[in-house]
Amino acid sequence: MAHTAAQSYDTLIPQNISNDRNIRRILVIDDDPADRTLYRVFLNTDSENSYHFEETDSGEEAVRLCNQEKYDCVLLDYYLSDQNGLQILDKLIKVYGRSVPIIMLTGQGSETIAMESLRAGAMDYLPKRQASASSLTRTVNNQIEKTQLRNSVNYHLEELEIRNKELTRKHEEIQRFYQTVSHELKTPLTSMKEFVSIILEDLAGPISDEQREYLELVYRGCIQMTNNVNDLLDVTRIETGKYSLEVSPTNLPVVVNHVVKQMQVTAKKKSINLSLSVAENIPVIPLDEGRIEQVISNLIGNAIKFTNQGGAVSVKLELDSTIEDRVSIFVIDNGKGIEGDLLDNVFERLFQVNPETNLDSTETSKAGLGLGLTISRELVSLHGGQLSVQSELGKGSTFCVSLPVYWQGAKST
Amino acid sequence: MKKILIIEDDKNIAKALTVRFNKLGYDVAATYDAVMATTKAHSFEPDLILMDIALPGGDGFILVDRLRQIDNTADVPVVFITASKKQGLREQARKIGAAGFFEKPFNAGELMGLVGQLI
Repeated sequence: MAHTAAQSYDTLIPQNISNDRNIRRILVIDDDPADRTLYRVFLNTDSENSYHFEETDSGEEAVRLCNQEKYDCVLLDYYLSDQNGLQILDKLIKVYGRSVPIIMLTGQGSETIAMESLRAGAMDYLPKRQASASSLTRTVNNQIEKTQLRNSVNYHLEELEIRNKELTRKHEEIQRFYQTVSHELKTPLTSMKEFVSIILEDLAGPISDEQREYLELVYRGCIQMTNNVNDLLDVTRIETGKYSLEVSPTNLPVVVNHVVKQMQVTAKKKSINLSLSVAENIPVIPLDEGRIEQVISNLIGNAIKFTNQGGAVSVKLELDSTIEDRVSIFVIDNGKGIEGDLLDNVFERLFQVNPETNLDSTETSKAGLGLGLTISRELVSLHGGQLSVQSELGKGSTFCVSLPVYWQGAKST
Repeated sequence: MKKILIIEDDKNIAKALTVRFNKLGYDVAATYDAVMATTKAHSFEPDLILMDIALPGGDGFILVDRLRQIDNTADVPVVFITASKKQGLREQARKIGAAGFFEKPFNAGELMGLVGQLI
């Protein structure tokens, strides 16, 4: 048993212990030679470990030896002739800390001494009268194993600390990279959009219908790219936790109304009936108005995208009927719905469904980066809320944004 | 004719803005860094300043401070345009008394509208 136990520590323990893991180096500090012999005899009955003994009758000598060598265990007699056991214990602790177990051997009726020893840093104590082959072996084994475990834990903690620092550094590097990339992408995009705009507004002379048509395509492409870059930046900032909300008391009905009105244009293009119903008793809620608008816009946009011509999308704002102090915004469509398997994945990054085939379109060409729902979910989360979905293939989907009435979100700066 | 000074290190954006403002009948001048900007502002005496925040030679906020200390530019309304989406910039701009704050890419219509209102 000791073999397998020692084996499992093998990769974990740094090499400061004897090469042959079964030979234990014990320092015996006792001025009675008969006692010293006894300890040797007792420990040698241990069939699973071999021991090498070094002995001394002097506390000072012991301290000297410990400064030169790291033993696996130290047996210390309390009643030494040259010094008090506790004093020697102190000195040994100064050398070893807790990296080597020191076992105090005490006399009879010595509960107080035993307690003092433990308090001073001894790992264990054993009254000499109770010392036997089994008790001594057991005590030494326990303490050596305990110390080995502690050493390996500390070693690993240090390793983890180093690894952690490295990861944090890399993480920050990556974030800085994303920031630079999006800035470098946005700069030319801005001027591209501006100049095309200027031409389309006839500020650079007349243009033909054909030129106008093509330039409008270019303009739309610029808008798309800008959205993609902004999404990219959003998602990386959310992930590093560098995203902070600008929270203020918000009139949610007004906000939802505003978004729905904006989305009517898109809905009408597919003859989709976009309706809104707002309950009467919605309180003012602390929210980042812009971000919540972003979320609702995203959900309604998706609903419209995945609903056929002539379908219906309804938006409902009401107090949660089951949970106190929560408000729910539902975006319900009677469109294609989402397949059960894919339902779990809709909020993942880059996950998109091709509106034509209703299949996972990560392989095919995409209209965007597919980050909308990921960002929406994170934004709702930052508010202390939840974004969830229920759906049935062929029948439609219901997305629900649940928000707390009282601020429970991330700390905003 | 009302005068607009554009302080923007992206020459393309500066040009695009110049074209638009010219068409609307404004007299436009542009500089590309914070250092030249102070001199230009002093000599050109604009009625409005359109300024990027990230500029070579110093950032927009510091520049605004400096301009406020010069007699003939102290009361000129300043509108910021920036490519940075760093949080809190809008708030900082508001605190410093900026007349407007736009993120790039900006909506040209909105920007022109605000300028029309200010001067």
